[in-house]
Amino acid sequence: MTTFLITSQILVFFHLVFGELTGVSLLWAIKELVYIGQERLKWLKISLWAAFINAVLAWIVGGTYYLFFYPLVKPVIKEGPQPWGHLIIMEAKEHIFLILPVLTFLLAIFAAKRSHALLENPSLRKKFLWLTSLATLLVFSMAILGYLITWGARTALWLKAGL
Amino acid sequence: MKKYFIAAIVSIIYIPLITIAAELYAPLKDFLKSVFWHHWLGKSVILIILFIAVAFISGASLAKYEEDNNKDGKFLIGTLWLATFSALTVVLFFMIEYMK
Repeated sequence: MTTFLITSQILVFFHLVFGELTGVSLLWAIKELVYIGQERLKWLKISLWAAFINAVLAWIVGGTYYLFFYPLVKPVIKEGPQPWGHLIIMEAKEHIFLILPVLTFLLAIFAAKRSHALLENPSLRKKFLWLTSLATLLVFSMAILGYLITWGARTALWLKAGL
Repeated sequence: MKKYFIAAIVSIIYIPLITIAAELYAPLKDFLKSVFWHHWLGKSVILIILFIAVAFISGASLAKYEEDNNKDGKFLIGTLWLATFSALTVVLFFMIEYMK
């Protein structure tokens, strides 16, 4: 039981860490796009590849938790006072998340192949900035959804404990 | 670059489609479970294969495609709206299912 608890907590921790690093990398890319210059293109590419790699790591680590540990948490939420924590939030999160590796890869490969177009064409750069901002919004939405899922689990456990 | 846009667009459309289809049509969810052990793992693996396959096929058929800022701009905005619509569709679907 102890090994189960520690492993599940470590997986959730690293899912969160990689998720936040994805968001921070995207914010970094936004900064590079706003203050774009020839010397900053290298950092734009690095920040977007960092976002993609962290999104994939969050996918793998979070997926491992979801497949092996979450099945034991799911009934706690569903039988608790906030079943929507699983039935809406988790169901939505596990599927919306799949958009992120696709979006971050697209942003990274675009910056790698078309960085000079981003530098020279303000209209294209603005559109790229919008897509990067959407990816950032989605990443931080994942964090909020994650909080709402644990809210459902925590409330159910606290009530069960007599609080 | 166009092949990656096409692959991303197809993948982003696939996500709400497979999600809703698997919820409404139990045999599809059971099929994903039987092949991939878990339906979400199946959806994830298919997503990766789909992205790579579409990029490969469209890359081969667009060998003479030349980069165009206007077209890339349209693809960026198209992807933006599709991703937004895809995410909102998934949320709304599970909200409606919950309220049934």
